[in-house]
Amino acid sequence: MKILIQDGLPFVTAVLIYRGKRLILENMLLDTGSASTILSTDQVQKVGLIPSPEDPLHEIRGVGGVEIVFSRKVDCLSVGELAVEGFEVEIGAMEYGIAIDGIVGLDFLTQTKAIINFDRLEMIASGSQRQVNLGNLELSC
Amino acid sequence: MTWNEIRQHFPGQWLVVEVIEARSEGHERILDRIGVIDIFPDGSSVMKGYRELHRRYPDRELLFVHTDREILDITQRKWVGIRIGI
Repeated sequence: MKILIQDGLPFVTAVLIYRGKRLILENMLLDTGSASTILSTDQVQKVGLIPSPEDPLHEIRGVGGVEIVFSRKVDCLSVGELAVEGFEVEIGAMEYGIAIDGIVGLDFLTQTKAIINFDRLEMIASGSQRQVNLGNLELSC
Repeated sequence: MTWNEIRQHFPGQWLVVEVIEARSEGHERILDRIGVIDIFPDGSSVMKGYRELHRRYPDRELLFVHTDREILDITQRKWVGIRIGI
């Protein structure tokens, strides 16, 4: 998967599968400084991912004020050959002043054993993980 | 109002509420007094409403929540943000 640098930040394209529906998220910020992966509510509501009464709620407090997100397990999240089935993501309003569909956080990057290569501007799976992924990709991702 | 009072007054509703008094205990945010800002018919519109309000008042402690939820258990985390280049 190619990494695109925009406004000095690294972006990739991710594919979300939620209840069998597929959504392409083109502006995903690659952020090793984010512990979790978060998706924009504007995007994910296209595949029917909206809050339900009992979703876990998290309050995120930072420089831009305070925001509430909910979390939900999705069928699959993938970035190129990297994929996690049954992945838990956070969903929020993401009013950060930049056009962004979500953040690929360190939870996704460590689970997929991602290798980020800024020389080639690409993100790939490690050799051993690639074999595992090839099997999984045929399941639901 | 307390969460229990809000649940009695607005049963089965999606709300955007504002926190008036709260405290942090470890990773938990405990909300002692809450005010109701608006009522929404479904999960999709409450997110839209929350987003609109959050954009206008980023420093106010707002949340979207459904009153079927018995316990208002909210975890909290810090986030230092994204630095955008020029």
